[in-house]
Amino acid sequence: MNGLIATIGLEIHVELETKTKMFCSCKNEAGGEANTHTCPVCLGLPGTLPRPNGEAVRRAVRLALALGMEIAPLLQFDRKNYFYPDLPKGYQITQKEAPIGVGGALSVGERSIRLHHLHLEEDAGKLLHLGGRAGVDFNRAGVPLVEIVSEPDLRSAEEARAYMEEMRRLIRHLGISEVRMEEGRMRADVNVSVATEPGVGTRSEIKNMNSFRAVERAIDYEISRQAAEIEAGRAVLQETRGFDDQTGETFVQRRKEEAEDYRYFPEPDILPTPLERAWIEEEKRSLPPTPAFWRRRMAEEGLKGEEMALLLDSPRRTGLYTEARAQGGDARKITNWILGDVLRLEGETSTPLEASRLSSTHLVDLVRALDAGTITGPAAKKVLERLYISGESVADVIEAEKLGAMSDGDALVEAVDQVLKANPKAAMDLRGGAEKAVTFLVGQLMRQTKGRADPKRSADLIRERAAIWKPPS
Amino acid sequence: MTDLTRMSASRLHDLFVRGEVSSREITEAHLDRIVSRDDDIHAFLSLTPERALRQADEADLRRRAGETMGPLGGVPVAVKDIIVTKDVPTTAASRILQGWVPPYDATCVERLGISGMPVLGKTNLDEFAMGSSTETSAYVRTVNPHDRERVPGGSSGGSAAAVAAYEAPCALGSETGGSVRQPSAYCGVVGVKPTYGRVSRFGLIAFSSSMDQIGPLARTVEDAARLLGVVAGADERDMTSAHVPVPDYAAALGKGVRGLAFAMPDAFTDLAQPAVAEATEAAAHVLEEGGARRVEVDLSSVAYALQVYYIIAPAEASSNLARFDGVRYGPRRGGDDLMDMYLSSRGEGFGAEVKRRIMLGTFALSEGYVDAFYRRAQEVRRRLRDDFARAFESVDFLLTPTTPDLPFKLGAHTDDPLAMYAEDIMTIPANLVGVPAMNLPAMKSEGLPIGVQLIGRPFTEALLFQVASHLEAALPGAPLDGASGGGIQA
Repeated sequence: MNGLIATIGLEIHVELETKTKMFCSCKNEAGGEANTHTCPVCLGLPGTLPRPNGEAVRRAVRLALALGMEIAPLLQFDRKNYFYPDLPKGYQITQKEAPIGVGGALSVGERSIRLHHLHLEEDAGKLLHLGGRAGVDFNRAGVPLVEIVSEPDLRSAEEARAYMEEMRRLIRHLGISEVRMEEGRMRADVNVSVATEPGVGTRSEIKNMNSFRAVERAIDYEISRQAAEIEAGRAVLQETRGFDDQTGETFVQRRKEEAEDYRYFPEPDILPTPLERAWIEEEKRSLPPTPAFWRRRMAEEGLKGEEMALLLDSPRRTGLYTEARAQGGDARKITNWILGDVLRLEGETSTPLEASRLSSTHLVDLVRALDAGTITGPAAKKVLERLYISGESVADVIEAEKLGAMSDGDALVEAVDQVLKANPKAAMDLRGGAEKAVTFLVGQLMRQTKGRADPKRSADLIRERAAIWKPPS
Repeated sequence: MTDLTRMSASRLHDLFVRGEVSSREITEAHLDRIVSRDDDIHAFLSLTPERALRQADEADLRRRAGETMGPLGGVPVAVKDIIVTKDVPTTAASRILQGWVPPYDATCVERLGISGMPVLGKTNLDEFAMGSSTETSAYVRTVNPHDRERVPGGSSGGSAAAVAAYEAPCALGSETGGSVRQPSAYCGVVGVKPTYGRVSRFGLIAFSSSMDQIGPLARTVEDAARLLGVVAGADERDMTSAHVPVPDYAAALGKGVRGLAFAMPDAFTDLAQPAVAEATEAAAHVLEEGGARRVEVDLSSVAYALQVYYIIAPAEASSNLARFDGVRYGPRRGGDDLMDMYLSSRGEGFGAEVKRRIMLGTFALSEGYVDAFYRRAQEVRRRLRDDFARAFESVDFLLTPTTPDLPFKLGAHTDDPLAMYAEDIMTIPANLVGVPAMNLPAMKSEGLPIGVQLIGRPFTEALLFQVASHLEAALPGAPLDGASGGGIQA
């Protein structure tokens, strides 16, 4: 890569999670038995006609607005004609002449990535390979899709990934889609060229990757491949390439001269509809704060880049954090709880945060109880585990599980005596001056009290009681 | 008993409402007529007697229960086989749809059902409505009931022939460039191309989406007016259907033509053969006698209509017909690989005329040509629309011939596609512009029907019916067995 610069542009496709499909009233749901969410319209049966989904239009407009785009005065669609078994009508309804949004930008780190446009279209079905035979599942056919096309402003695989991740955060925060990657709800095509100056090289397009990692690997591979061609004095060809997840390599799919002619023309079945300015202003006013907004605030509150990224990946996490802060929670402690035990619980209980009963009040109360010494750290984890599912208050869980810290009083003394009684050898060792035995006995005490014993107080008390303890004769 | 098949649909409905004849009797009479006559005419591609009789019995039950149905309740109807019917094979007269049984009804078919109109069967057409003679049907050749050596016109030739031959009191056809009006003229029946958006296209297999429109065919103006009233109106499943109230079309009949202004643009009349021109003059005379004022308008841009049409219609068709790929329905052929399957299924499934138009349209939309052809044609289409709007500032309607000439002999144009395309020269402008137009049988010449055409402003079908009813009463018309004008007698 001696003196060579990579120029990268992304086309990100995101399925909008509307209740129904783009042009019919079929359910927009991933999974399910093949061809169960289909009707004559999304199967493209002869005689059927499309009817645009207003909610999909609204969501696309909101995303375009959040990206600072200019909104088209008219909503209109075009047909993109090509043959493939997963494309029921032999054409895709998309937007070519007048995309719903034009211009705009997305900030990624210190850089602002300019955007070309955003348009609305319908997804295709999915080919299924059934042992030597192929079938088509049309459940996905007609699912609303936005495509966000960037300018070639990205310079590295890492930056492209960061851009894609930030786009996902924004989309999640707008409530447009949960962008479940594992369901293929976000996919990207990448344009890459390499040259001594930005933007002058011949580009290749790598199609249809559905993970951040694939995008990053494909770009890295493609940059080295093109650089090697240039350094070897060979020309880079304009072509469409695929990415093989197994080998991590890209491969030629189609050369420039084989490029398809999609014969775009205005979709005559859908009349152009004005997008009212007043309505657009209203949508603009009702946009929620963006991840960029929260990031500025979190940085002021001392959070680190990676922490902010993790909190902002999920609007619910962001919400927990910002609400807890509003309730006076400590930024550092709240962040540690969310990114530590809460994340762990999400995994362990298979209950996503959104489905849990956890609220910011819980986190604030938990931190306060710890600060006040009302409960111990281990007990706090137990409290969280229970209320994560049950939603009970922190105080109620402490009471119900008897998790209040034992810092003095007869109960703790009694517990210490029981531990000494159960471990006579350790007790005698301690009396004999073996300090190591204290650590062991504190451990036993924690077990005995299920973590409620105050660790600092416990060691002292064990020494006191051991000194006056009499082994059974 | 009087032959029920000779009565107008409106008369049959009135008898049905009065309980003098049942829908079953009417329906059976027509099914019998079809059985005895259609081996000669070949108007139908398929019959649905069980469905028709079930619907007839339902209509009779509803009537006895005191329910009011549509303005033609109890009267059976024939439906062009490009309109989708649930559980009844729908072929568009193409091999590529052989065996396809739709899982849904077109909106207009639903409305027939709600209105208590039994469907007798599906009528023949040019394959995918592409043709002007019904000869491109992959299945049968329909003949003109007035002269069995001649074509019935097309593409709704089956519907026009069925109505003319008393096999159905009325029928639905569809238009893209004259496919209702031209066969109506050739078969001597009334045929209406409503304003674009007047009738829902949901369930009409698309040919050219920006021009396709379903329309009624009948033997009287009143029947056509009533049938349009049944199927017209906004449909949330068709975004191009108009939210314009549907008036009572029949109420406009018999109000005369006094005070109306009309024109007979040279751009149309200059193209007509003498017999046709004479018939149009005769109609103009009747209108002037009735107190209508004849004025001049300039519609010379109509000269470009045919060229514009044969770019836009095939362009849209090339896209609309892409779904017929052998994957989901229709016969799948070949199969060594995907491309082989596509080529064989489409190659064997489509007929020559359909292929010709797919190629024309594909070319007109191709990179490097789309500006010179498709976009240019759209530009001329806008000009044409402006010219019509200007003409309609000074007139209420236009009177023109419906066709340049009389019905031609079977096979006469088969090897000359341009001659076949020129058949629609009088009718195409209304489709490009989206305005309503209709054919009215004026008279016969050498035993063959001649039609005249009325063209109106958008959504003035009622006015066209009003004018047509006036002409119908005064002109001889062109009934099959010589009954006098306006007078399909009871």
